[in-house]
Amino acid sequence: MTLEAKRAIVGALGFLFVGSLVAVTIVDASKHRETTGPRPPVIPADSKGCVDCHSRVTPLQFAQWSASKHGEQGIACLSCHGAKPEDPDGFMHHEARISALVTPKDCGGCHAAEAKGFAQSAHGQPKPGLEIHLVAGRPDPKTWPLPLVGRRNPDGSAGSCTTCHGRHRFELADARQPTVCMTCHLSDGSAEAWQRSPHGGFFLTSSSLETAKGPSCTVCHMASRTGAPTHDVSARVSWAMRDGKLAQRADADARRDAMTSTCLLCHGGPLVEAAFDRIDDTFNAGVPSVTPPPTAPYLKSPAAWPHLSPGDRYELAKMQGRLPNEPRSSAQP
Amino acid sequence: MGRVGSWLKERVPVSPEAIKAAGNEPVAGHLKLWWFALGGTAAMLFFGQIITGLLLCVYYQPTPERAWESVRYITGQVPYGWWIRSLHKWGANLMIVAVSLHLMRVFFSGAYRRPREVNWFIGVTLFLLTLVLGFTGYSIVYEQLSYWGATVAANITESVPVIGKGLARTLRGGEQIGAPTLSRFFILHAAVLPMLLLTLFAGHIALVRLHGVSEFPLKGQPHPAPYPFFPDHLLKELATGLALITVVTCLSVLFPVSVGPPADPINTPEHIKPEWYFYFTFRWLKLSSLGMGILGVTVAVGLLFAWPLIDAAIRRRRPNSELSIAFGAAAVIVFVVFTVWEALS
Repeated sequence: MTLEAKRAIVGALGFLFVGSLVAVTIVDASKHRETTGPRPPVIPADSKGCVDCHSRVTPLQFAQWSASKHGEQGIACLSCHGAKPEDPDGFMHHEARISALVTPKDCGGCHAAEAKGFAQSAHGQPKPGLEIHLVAGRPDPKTWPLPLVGRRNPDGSAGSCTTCHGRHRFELADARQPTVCMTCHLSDGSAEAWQRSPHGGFFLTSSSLETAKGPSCTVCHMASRTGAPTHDVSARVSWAMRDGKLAQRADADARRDAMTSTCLLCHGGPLVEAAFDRIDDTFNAGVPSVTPPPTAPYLKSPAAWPHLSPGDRYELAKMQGRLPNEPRSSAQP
Repeated sequence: MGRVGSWLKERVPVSPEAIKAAGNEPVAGHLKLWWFALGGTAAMLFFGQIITGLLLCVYYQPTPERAWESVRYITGQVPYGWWIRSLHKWGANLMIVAVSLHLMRVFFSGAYRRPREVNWFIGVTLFLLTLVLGFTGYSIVYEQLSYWGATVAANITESVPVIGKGLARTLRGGEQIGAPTLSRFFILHAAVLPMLLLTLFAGHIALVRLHGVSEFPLKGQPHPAPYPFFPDHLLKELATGLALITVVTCLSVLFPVSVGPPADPINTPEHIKPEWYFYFTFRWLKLSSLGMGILGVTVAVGLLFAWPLIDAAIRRRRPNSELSIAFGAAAVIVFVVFTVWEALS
């Protein structure tokens, strides 16, 4: 082969190589990448006026929404806060009729299955005396914000999704954190019982939900192996406190079965059965008569919660106001 | 310029003429034939592997928690990351092909014969190192198949008599594949093996230069005259290099490398398969018992290594023996049949 021919081959190959680099660049440009910087939210026309003002007046609220899934998908201010003329909690705010209250009924417009499950649960039941009063369509500040669970909303729904999901950011991972459940359940003893059990102990050794070695509250009470998770957090709870007394709920067997099938994902049948028998025996024995009455009687029973040390039970009792706040060494059992 | 030149010449006493003369050494005429360029092809691919490998090291993290995730990040997020990774993978595959073809060319042209036996030993070691580099590189991706491939390989190593258990434990850094294995494999893949390969490669080239390229008389053709290295041979090497990088780039665009599911030590996948260059060994292990399998592979590697000595012994008795050609052809046929068989199964 002559030198000229070789040079021609090198030239042609060089040309081909440059061509292949062009193909690489085209493929690279077509690849969808997650942006690492802040992603601008999608602002629909009807909410533009709200955003213009609230990004200055309540900038952190706006920042939370901007970073949320709602912000990403253009579910904006009026999607949740917009009020129909017949809504009792609506009022005019600049040019829009809005409602300050976003109730489970409002969320259920998109999240129907979740709202339905929530309405069936203890979280979704109204309690007497927790009604929100309206003054010219606006919630009366004296009755709002009320404790969110048990609240009776003007539209007939009860409770609020934001109790667990927070407002404007709506991060799913937040709602899965036991610390969110603890905002209410720290006082009834169930959060402490979990925290001091192997479930809580091993969960708390992990730094994130993804690497957790023990289950959090939502794993046993909400998650499902085969289908969508339930928002009826009571569906697997067979005992409840009614008027200061422990009582079995309606459909207790079905609820127990539902929880048992969840337990069986990790534990053997005989162990699960024995644990529930022990708990039933303890609860059937009734609330011990002490003054003031304990809010979580089962915490006093080592048989039901063998993982609680006497010291832990003492601390819990103190936390619940059942013991005077005195030095531990003199009063510790 | 003159002052700079004389300053440099005093401190680096090598004359440009000497460099030119060294570079212009006439090249044996038969190297004009393309199948004599396979060793150089493998070398070029190896240098490409070093460059793409270094770029991958910028993002790769060799821990069980981060390995797969960092590979996924390289493939999906890093600009041109998918291309660099694809170049590395396709480059590795082509390098194995080139080394194997080079080995076959040397074998069938009898270039391993006296006085080039030592260079054959080095060459076979380079071939085995290339395979181990492929294996360790595949393993550190830490996807489900590569994890279980490494597990199977470690278990096979464990079955080697006497040294197996200790060797497997040393390789894994414990009883199972995990964080210590990943750091071992990574250091082997990114530092130890390439350095070893480079050192042996230097020795390989040095011996070629010392002995001169083996003459290969072509039947019925006059012996081709030597030709200058510059620019004739350099242009040919340049063409080879350009062709290679274009082919690898086209393969990367047409068949970009993907990321499988992450390693799951709890779930064994239904079908475990190594990379294609181990199909031959895998099929052989399937056909025989574990002990026989290991023995067979050991004998095959031993025969490959010692062939120059065996061939010399045969040719002492029968100088015109073509047994090595028949033996080599049979080995290639068995290799191809086993590989295709495993690929189709």
